[in-house]
Amino acid sequence: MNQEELKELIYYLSQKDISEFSIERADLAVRIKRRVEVQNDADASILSTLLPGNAAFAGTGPLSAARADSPVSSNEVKDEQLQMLKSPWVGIFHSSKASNSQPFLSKGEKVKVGQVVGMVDVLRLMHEIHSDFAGEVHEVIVGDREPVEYGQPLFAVRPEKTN
Amino acid sequence: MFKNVLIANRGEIAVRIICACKELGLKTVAVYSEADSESSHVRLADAAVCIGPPRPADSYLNIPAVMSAADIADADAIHPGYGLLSENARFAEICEGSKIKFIGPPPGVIRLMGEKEKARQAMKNSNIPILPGSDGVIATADEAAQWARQIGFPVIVKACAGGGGRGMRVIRSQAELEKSFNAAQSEAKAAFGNGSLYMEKFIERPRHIEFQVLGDSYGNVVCLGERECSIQRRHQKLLEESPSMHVSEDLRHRVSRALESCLSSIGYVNAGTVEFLMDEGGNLHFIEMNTRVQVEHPVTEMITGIDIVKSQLLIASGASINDLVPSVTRYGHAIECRINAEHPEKFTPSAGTIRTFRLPGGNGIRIDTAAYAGATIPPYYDSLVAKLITHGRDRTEAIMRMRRALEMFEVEGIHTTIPLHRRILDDVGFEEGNIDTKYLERLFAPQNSARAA
Repeated sequence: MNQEELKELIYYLSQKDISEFSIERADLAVRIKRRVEVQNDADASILSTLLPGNAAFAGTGPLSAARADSPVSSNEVKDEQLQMLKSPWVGIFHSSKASNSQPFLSKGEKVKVGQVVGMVDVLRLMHEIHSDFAGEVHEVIVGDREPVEYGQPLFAVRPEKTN
Repeated sequence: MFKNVLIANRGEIAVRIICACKELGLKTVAVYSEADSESSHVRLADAAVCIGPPRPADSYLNIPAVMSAADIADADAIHPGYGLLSENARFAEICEGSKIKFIGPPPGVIRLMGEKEKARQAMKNSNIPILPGSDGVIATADEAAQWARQIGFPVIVKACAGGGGRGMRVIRSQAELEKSFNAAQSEAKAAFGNGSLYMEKFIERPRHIEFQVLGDSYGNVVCLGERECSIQRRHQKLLEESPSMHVSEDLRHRVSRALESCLSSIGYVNAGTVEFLMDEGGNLHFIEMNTRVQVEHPVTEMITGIDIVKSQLLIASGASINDLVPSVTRYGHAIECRINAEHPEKFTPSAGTIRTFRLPGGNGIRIDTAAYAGATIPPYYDSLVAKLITHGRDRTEAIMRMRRALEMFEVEGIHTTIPLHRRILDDVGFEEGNIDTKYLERLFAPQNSARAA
């Protein structure tokens, strides 16, 4: 990220009234905090699209990553403690076993290591997605039957404290 | 005509295919690995799907991930580019089975040309000259000795399943035959899981000359002439040009007509390249056929005015050669220099971030690249950064243009082959056309011996 991009980012954050932003990549860590009034927690609890390898500003959908100028998701990481449960496959995400059954995982629920959290339909073959950490679901990011790409965040989870 | 083309490749060729699609009004879908999220092809395509981690086996070669991307992005055709899945007959079959148009030849033809011995046989049947060699697979060193006596030393043994120099040995005498044969066999087995070898006459100082063809689905094949690709290092081409100084109008005509009738009878469809070695006497000998677009295709495009990648898309959608290429006319001379992210003398790969990327321009210059200032060259893929192509009314003009273009081309942050190309373009031997596949060895030889002294 060069200075120009950084300036652009700060301008954008202030435009959207985003108070805090952080991003980490192999060779870069940026954390921006603005002094603004404390917002209602519920309204502000929205998430950013931390796409794999960081197409950071590319939007949420798997098919929207083509342009850096495509609309940025209205979301933001509010809590750097959150961990992303990502899709290990390219395909169609299924949040429940059948269209009329309960979702595998909803907001506010606890998730255990190894628990099935959803399925991805890869060329008409269903693959279960297992959680690789335990915690509480803070946000469900991808809706039922939405296309997902490799590494796309599906759930934001607040990890369980191990001690 | 299909509407939405998925490009199962990366780098400059993915961008090249996007250009062709845009000019035909087609939508494009890029696929990319986690290492390529900031790549030009991802930015330039209409849609992009991340298909896996950086390792090619987990992303660009991962057929289920590529097919699933085509599925969710609603692509109705796939262009495989070169390398990666482009000559994978199984992949072409899977596309066919999924009702997605594979932009290339039918799977059966890919498979035929992929098995070197069968390809040789097919060419031989159509009276295309092949190198004197064994008819079929050689199983033992004893059999190899018999063939070598018949063909005459020096000979070369090669892996049937092979490529890239592995499972390959030059054998100059009976004394070294057994040892070399066995070494090649175990190397082939380890590299390709198949120890089958065949034998050919070895040419000491061959020229590498290839012919570009286009075939349609109605049995028409047209040959677009040759490219001279003799300047290589370890079987990697570095500089290509067309026409070759060593191919006469008569030879070009004869080989072109023979290839057209041979490939028409095989049922060859789409773009392909037939590779030959030229011996010291100026005779051509078939070595192999590549059933895809080549890195060096722009050289032919520049002198014929035919857009090969656009032709590939149109042929795949049912166009006929008679409409696409009513006649082939050549004008002038074209040269391509491959600018690789490599040390210009040691040839070690040079991954890293490009700090400065200043391109030459002006009359007769073409650059095919996916690179830009600030781009990172990841260590996982091939090292091609840009192709610099010049076109002139004759070879001298193309050379003078290339010299000034190389002088104006500035890349900082990574090592490139630009200094090496400057050296080649300034060399009297190159200017005189005194080139063969041993050219670079000779270019470096005086320097090396000076260093040793």
